[in-house]
Amino acid sequence: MTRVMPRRLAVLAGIGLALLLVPLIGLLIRIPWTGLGGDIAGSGDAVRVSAVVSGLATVVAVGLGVPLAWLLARGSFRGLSLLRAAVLLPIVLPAVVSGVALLAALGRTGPIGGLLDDLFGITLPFTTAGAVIAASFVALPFVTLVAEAGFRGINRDLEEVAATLGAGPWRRFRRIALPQAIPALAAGVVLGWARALGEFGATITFAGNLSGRTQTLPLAIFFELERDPEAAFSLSLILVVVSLVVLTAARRTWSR
Amino acid sequence: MLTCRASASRNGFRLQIELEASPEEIVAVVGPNGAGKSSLLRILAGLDPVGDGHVAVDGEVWEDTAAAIRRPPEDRSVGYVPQAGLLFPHMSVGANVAFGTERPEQAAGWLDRLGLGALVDAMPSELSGGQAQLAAFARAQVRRPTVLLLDEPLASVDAANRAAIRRILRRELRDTPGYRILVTHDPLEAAALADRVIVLDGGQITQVGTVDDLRSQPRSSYVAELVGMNFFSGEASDGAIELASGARLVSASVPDGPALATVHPRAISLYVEKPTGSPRNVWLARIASIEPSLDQVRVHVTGPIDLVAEVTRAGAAAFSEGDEVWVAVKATEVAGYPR
Amino acid sequence: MSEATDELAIAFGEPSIELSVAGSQVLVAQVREGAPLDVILTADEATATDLARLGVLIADPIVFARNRLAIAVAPGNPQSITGLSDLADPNLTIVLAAPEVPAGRYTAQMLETAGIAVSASSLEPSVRAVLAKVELGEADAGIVYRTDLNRGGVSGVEITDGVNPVTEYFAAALTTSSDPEQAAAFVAFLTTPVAQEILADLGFSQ
Repeated sequence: MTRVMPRRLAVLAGIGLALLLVPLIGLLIRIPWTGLGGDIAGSGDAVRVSAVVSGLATVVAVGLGVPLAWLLARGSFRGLSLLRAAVLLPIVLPAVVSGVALLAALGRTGPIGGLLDDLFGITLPFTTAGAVIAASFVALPFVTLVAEAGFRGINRDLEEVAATLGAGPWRRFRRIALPQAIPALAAGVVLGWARALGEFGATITFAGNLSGRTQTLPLAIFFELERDPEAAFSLSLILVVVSLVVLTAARRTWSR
Repeated sequence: MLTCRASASRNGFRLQIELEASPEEIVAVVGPNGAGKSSLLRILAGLDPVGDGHVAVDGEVWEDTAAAIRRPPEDRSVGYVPQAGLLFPHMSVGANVAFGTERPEQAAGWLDRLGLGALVDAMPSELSGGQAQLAAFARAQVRRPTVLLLDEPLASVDAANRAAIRRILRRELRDTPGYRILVTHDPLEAAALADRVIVLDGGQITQVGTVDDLRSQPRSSYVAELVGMNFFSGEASDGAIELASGARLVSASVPDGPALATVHPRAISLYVEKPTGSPRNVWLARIASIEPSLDQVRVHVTGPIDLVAEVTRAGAAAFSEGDEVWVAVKATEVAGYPR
Repeated sequence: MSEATDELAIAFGEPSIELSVAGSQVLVAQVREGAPLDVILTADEATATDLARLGVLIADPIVFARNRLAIAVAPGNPQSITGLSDLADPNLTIVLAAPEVPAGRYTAQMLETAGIAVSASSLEPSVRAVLAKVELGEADAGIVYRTDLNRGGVSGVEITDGVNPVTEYFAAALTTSSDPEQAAAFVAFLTTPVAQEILADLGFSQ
């Protein structure tokens, strides 16, 4: 095979690559390497909150998103495409809008939030649980999107054969469809986690900002920018490094 | 007894069938592509609805639209062997065969029985077409289904291995208790594996019988084509059948009235000069095409009567496409029977 | 201050003048990177000093308005909050501006001086966000500027002048302006009676 890459595509690809890499490189150049240690040491709370919130949010997003994806991929009822559009909405909406929506429903004065407060004394805004909910809300559609594509790509005839072999709907899902969709699901987990980790707008609007409770790393970076921009560069480095590590570890999910 | 009545719309045509099968005989459903053969299997397996009708096996109602009953496939005692086997690609052969059963040792037993014992840990992608087909067969059999369904069982087996796999299948089918229904477009498969044949064409059952019945008295040009016979339809009186084209075929014995007739391709003689002698059917025709087969040559002639003759290579040497040729068929070779 | 700028610009006769009212450090960073701003208005003296040190100011900054803090509560004051000390009640949900923004810094200083410990549920990125949370009913009370109480949807509770810090607003024209003369003229305009009346209407003190 001769040269695979047509020249005009190569140029555009190069520009795209530059667009993505130049800001990253710029960030790396501007990092105040001398103060780095102190900055990172001071970010312990934000790192911890981010780890907990993004981890739990990913669990929620996957635990709910995969069954939802199965419903969208295998269901056949009127309004299915409308349902899919609603599920994917948070991907398109600005995160702040998602935060506002969460406040409207789950806030103290909202229909569900008010009920939770009256019956159980539970309020979600300004809590870590609230941050988890905000991150789950924006991550769930990503997981669902990727997982549904994965389920759609599977040969449904295999599920039919499994049915003739006595497998009911649960066994067909667990032993035939799920194992084959693992590569797509893995990509969904990584994507969902990445979205949850980088989540800002919905978190600050719904869960608020309090160090040690709701201040995730992105929030910490935003406020650091007000106080000490160079420290903001250092904190950004943490996010970049962590993300690079996870993406590298998960690189098999793309190539398979 | 297995009874099935189905009336359903499928991809633009209407499936309208009513059939019975007994566990004593192996049934082959034969028909052109798109006739509804696979649809019939899917209905029996419970993968598609019967439309308007019912499926009952040994007194158990599996489906009945009038009573709003429909048992899903997992609740039917059915074994389904799809085209090309359709093994689960992410499981080993052994895991595939053991899928339907609680007891994996039964799976090992079946693999050994079919000569696949060494492949128990292999992945489906490593199998040949024939091996995959047998593995799928074992997978279906492990559950000891009441009804065994096979969809084009030899279609994905390459020609060199087909005879061997066919022999194994024939042995296994004969040893299997219960209902056995297979679908095929290959008359050789039907002849080798089945006791009774159901012909499905355009969603309707057009003929039912043994392979001999089909061969000696096909009831449609499709079946005649399948069994390799020339086929004619017309009105018989006094031993002569008048065809739609006006031409007449003399048959040694055919009752008066609407009639069908077959002529074997090898019973046709071709001459350069008009032949003298006994044949009662002689006419001038033109050679439309000459097609070499493995050991014979098939000559398609057109004229007052269209038919295909099979002659030896030596015999065909004298002819070229477009030539005029004299065709002779003995009356005894024209097998006529009521329509 | 953001609502004021539109009115002030119109009154000045130049509605399209480039007025940047942003969080202070972001502002300094933008100017340092060469953003083409004409005039800067900031409540943060440190910002003005930083910019002066950078040498981008045409003249020394001037104070053109003052503001004080106040407590915002839900309309009708359902929790019957009367003053700062009530905010120490742990059963109340209080939101404050984050110490990284000027309002938040003043709030923190004020509370420390007054010796009141408030356990805030959230430190918001702007006074506007604090106001929103109170307006939405998510927070029982928040500390905002007196000028913010003008916008309906909340009731106000005064903070006694004694502990209430004064916020001074500085204005300065920048050398990065495309029309430095006009920029300087605008700064001068801010101390005229016309401008001062607009500011007083919005709740600013002299």
